[in-house]
Amino acid sequence: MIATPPAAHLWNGGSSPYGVGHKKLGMWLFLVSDSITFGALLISCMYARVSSPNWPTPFPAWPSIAFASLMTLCLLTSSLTMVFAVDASKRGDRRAAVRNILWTVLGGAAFMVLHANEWLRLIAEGVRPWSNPWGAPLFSAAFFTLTGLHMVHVFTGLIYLLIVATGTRSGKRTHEDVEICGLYWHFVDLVWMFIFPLIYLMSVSQ
Amino acid sequence: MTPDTALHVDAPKSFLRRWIFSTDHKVIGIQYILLGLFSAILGTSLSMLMRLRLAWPETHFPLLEKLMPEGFPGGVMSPEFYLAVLTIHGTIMVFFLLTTVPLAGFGNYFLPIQIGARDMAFPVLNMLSFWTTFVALLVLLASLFVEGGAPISGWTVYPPLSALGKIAGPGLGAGQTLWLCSIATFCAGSMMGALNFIVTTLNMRTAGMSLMRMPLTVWGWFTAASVALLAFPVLLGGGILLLLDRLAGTSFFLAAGMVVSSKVITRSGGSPILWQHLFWFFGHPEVYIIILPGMGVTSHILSTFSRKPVFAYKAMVLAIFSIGFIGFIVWGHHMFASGMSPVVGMVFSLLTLTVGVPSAIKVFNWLATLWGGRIQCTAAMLYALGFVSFFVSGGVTGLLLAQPAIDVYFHDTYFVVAHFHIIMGLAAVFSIFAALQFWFPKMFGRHMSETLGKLHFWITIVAVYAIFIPMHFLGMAGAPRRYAQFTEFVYLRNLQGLATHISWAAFLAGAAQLILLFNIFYSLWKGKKTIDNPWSATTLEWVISSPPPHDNFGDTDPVVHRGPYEYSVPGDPTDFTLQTTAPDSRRPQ
Amino acid sequence: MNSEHSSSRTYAWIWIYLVGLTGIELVLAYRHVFTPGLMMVALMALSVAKAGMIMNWFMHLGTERLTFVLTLLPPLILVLALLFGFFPDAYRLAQLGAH
Repeated sequence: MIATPPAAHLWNGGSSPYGVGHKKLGMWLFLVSDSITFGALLISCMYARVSSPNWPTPFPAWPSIAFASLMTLCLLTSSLTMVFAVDASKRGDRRAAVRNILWTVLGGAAFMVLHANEWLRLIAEGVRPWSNPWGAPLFSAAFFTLTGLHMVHVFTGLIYLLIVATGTRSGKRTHEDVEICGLYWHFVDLVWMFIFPLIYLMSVSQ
Repeated sequence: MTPDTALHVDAPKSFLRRWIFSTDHKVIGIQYILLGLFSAILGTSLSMLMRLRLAWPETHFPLLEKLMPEGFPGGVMSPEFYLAVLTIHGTIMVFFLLTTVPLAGFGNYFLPIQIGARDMAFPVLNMLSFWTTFVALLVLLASLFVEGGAPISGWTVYPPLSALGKIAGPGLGAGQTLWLCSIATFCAGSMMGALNFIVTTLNMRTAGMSLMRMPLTVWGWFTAASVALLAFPVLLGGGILLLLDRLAGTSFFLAAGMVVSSKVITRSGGSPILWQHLFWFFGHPEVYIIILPGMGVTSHILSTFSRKPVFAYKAMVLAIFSIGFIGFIVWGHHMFASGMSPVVGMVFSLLTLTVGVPSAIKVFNWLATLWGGRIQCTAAMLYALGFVSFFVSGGVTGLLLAQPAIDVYFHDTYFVVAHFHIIMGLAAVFSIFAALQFWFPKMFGRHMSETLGKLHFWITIVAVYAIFIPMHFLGMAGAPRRYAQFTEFVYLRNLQGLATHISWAAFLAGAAQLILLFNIFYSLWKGKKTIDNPWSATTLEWVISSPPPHDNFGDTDPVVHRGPYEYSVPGDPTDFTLQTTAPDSRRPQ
Repeated sequence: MNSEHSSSRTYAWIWIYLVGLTGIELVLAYRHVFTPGLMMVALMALSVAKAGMIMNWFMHLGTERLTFVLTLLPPLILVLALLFGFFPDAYRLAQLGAH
């Protein structure tokens, strides 16, 4: 008995309707759900901003905005090297893939170092989750919550990248694994594209 | 299709891998059901304690004092203990029974089989999501035993009380923190499960199983999982913020100018209303996560025992989907009393009323499915009819509560308690009963007793209506929910007899569940042995043996040729046509 | 090999665009070109553009089947848009001066 001819209708069962494997579909769905977690937090912080009369705009061009822009550049560049890694693994060039993943790790690590430095500097200025020298206490609460959750994602991403790099080198991980890891890493970058303007650029001092 | 021995998989030999840390979706489904059974027993017992306090507020119970000296000083339950019991009852029932059993329990067991798959898409993730949920339950139970006991803030844990710590009351210290950790963990487990369900349904359907040939149960689970994937993250976000408020000193949900326990609270800047938004943005879709699987099961069973196809299958699918969608745009109707602008209230009210349209489509289609059928009044059929009954009687009061002007009066009264217990609690619980009675032979190879099932059905439905119909009147008279006692209110004194009546009915309903428990455990070992397809049903789970083998379909993958509800097809020798029956193979022309 | 070079060049161009858009955002914010409300809209519009470019080229959503994109994005956008339903309340609180 013939089950389904190769050109079966998309939704007819027996194969993925999207031509996408389980893992990739699963990662995309996770990213959709994670976007909503970030969305809920971002909206909550904007809600606090809208309803607070004394929301501060404390960040001067130097050093805060300059460092934050540098961090953005690090993440964007790491995304570029990640997409090169995915391309290389698609060609079967495992060495180039591993090399580019390691560049990505470097970009992510630089982001984390710069960001940790930023946190320490603000803490030294007396900024705490429950208060800050400039105005509405929720400003610093929102800052630490959003950037903190994002940092958790970056840190998880770095571990994930290293696992995939090791696996790619030994040949245990396939192209699909590299591609899925890439999806996660680009997502971390994408979320920062929203946190950066909302937390930093909307708080540039007058 | 030719048999392929490579497809055959044996169950793992070790006990631990097979029954405890199993990756088999059937075992995980049963694990979820057992977790739900435990939760149901605990949650029901707690509600009995509450009814005891409400009916006889001043009577002394020395036995209970001996058992729980802190909760019953002098043999009378303290109001704080009442609130703790209420919180745990709500949390356990909503999250660990109604969210897990219909979706993660029966869904895990039957979704892969009904679409012709051998397991879920991510078996290990599936195992992880169960054990995450299990840990969440343990953490919740741990809150009962820490200093101050369980939280007293209700299952909606509204700030500011829930954000302040133990200064706000007993149980709001460590107990509340554990509650939040438990629910955040539960969110993670549910999101893993939902993701797995969606990928499985989309990617793993067997040949010929197009979307419009999926049983309505699968549509219910798939839609509920999609809703869960999109709604749980919002609760997770809110939970993170509330935990930060408690542990990191932020004040997302704390406005200025509060005096709590005679202490001035210096934190300021936030808004408790924000929590209500975040909570109900999740909370309303949650109601549909609970009820959609029940709708699927009900359609499935009504069709089987009417020996008729489901009336207007496509409209049913559309209704399931639109209910899932509308669930996201109505959260504001839980907040009419929060002082929202009348314009926004009107918008939410209108949107809420539109839920009535797909709901009515479902109800009328169920009735049309029954119409003219050769109805077999099995116990499973009775439970499914009970679901329809509750869905109507609980839904009608929903239309009342959707009007802001009426809701301002009914808000936080027993009218609301009656409404959501009928529509969300009882309807979903009856769909669980129906699913259990219907699929028990497939899961365990033995039937549950029909006689005991029918007895249980009649006692339960009479008793629960005797609880909840009078509760509407209590609410109309203005009895507020979450109060341990009404005797202090002059205007409610005359209704104390009604409260006592409700309690007696509740004890009857609780006792009737012992019949169900006995039926389950008796039937596991002594029930009537069954065959592959005892109900003469049509979907894929009835093609395989009872109980199904470890790899579900042995050496061959099933191939689907027709829709899920082909009952009483004219010209067919039997009154049911299996989905795997090839076209025209039954009808020699 | 030719296609490999051309795709690398595309990615490099996308990177340049992303950096460029970020630069525009920086200038807008630093020079306070708009009032805060308008600034928010402008920055978010640019961010959505950047997110779209990342998804389309870096995450290869552009080369997936249309049905896949249509399964993922509309529900996500819908839920994120609905979250803006919180704001009437935030403005009400601001007007009340409740803090």
